[in-house]
Formats: sequence, C-alpha cells, structure tokens
Amino acid sequence: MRKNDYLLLLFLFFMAGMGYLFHGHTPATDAKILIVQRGQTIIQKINLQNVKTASEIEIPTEHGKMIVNVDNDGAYVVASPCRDKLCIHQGKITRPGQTIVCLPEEVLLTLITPGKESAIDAIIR
Amino acid sequence: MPSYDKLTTKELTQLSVLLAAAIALRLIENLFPYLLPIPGARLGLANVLTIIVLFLYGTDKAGLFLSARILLVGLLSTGLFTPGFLIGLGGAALSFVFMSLAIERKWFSPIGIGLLGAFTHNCGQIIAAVYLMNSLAVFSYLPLLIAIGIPTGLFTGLVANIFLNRIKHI
Repeated sequence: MRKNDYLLLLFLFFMAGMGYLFHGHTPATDAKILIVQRGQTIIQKINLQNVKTASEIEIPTEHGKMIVNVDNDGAYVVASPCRDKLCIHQGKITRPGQTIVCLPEEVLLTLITPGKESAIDAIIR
Repeated sequence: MPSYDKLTTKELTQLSVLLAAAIALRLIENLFPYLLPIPGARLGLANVLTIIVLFLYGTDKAGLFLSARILLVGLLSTGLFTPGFLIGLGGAALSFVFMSLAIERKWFSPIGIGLLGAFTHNCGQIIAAVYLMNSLAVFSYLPLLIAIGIPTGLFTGLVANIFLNRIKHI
C-alpha cells in the first residue's frame, strides 16, 4: 500500500463517521407524518398521532402487494413481494427523517415532522 | 481514443476469459445475498476483474470489457433496464470513470483503486436511486454504504493486487 492509499482510507473512514454523527440525531417527537410513496407519486400521508391502534396498510406494487404496519410510534414493513426483503430487515422507523426503501418495488416510506411537510429536502441529512 | 482496431486476437482471447470469470463471479455473488452481515451488500468480486483489466489493458479496452459485462449480467440475471439494473449501471459507470482516471494518473496502488471503486460505486448507486425514486431520502443510506465499502473495497483491491503481482512474473 502506498501513502495515497492510506489517505484515501482515512478519508473514507471520515466520511462514514461524519455520516453516522449526523444520522439519527433528530430528536424523537410525537408529531410525525408517514409518507408512502411509490415511484414518484405519493400514495398516502398518515399522521401517526391519529393512529391509536396498530394497523396494517397495503401498498399495491408491481409484483403483488407490500404490507406495512403503522402505529402511533412509527412504521415497519411486514411483508413484501420483493426478492431481497431488505425493506423488512430495515426494521421499524420511529424518528423523522428516517426512511425505508424498497428499490425492486419502488416503494419509499418516509417519516417527517408536520412543520416541514412541504420541504422534504430540508429534513434529509 | 478508441483503439479497438488494435485489439489483437491474443488480447481478445484473454479479455474473453476474464469477462467469463467476471460474469461467473457476479452470478455466484447473486446466489449468496447474505454472505455479509448486511443483506444486499456485495463483496464486489466482479470489480476485481475490472481493476485487473484496467491495469493490464488500459481505459479503452476496460470500458469495452465493463460494458460487455454489464449487458451480459443484465441479460442473464437482473433483466435489462429494471430499477436494479439501472442502479448497478449508475454505480459501475461512476466507479469506472474514477478508477480509470486514478489509474491513468497513477494516484493509487491497486488496493487504493479497490477502495476508490467501492466508494464511487456506492455514490453512483445512490445517485441513480435518487433519480429513480425522485427523492433525496435515499441519501441517508450513503454513510452505511461507505462504511461497508471500506472492507469490501480493501478486499477487492488486495485480490487484484495479488493477481497483478503474480502475473508480472509470467
């Protein structure tokens, strides 16, 4: 390995470390809106404060339908027709700014704070 | 400068063998999506071959090599122009640009090229995903992808380095 290799390695560690510092530092709030998006269209917006009991929503996708569990705290994917099941492995999202992405089915679940509903760009770190 | 007219039969044969190896490695990787602790993360074994070809044959022929690999792997597994294919294409294109530039300028050893390739591949994937999903939210995956790319990039770089050192003596 050469000196430049080590510099590149340091740079990558720095980038990953910075990402983790900024990631997940949004405070947990009660007011959360779940945005369900497929491709480039928003299918549903759910204000989690209004969800009293955990419920499941179905999202029709290309290969079948995806089932998402939504409760007062957050949301997670229960079942998906995709091959990798990455969306299920991502677990539950509970903080604004967190997302679940299923690329094969082009589904995107995002939690946002109500105040910034129109400016999605601003929440994303 | 395209120099395909200078592609000799010997080079064509060697590149074909390497191409077959790259495609086989890629398809084998697809069989084991849980090889790494994070599902979906790949070792990038096929990129070992891209690095080797870049070092031995230069940018033009490596570009031809990589295009052939992407098209054939697309036909054989993911399907052409599916979201997965386009995201992989974004990663491959960006990493190829940066790796070939770094090799032409002699910035890094093969190990550094492996690291750079993994990193730029992740960036390219994210950019393609942002374009496909039309949402910047996908960017939140980048730190995780960069972190995974460090060990996998080191691995592919090391393997390419071992290969290149051995082939020097032939």
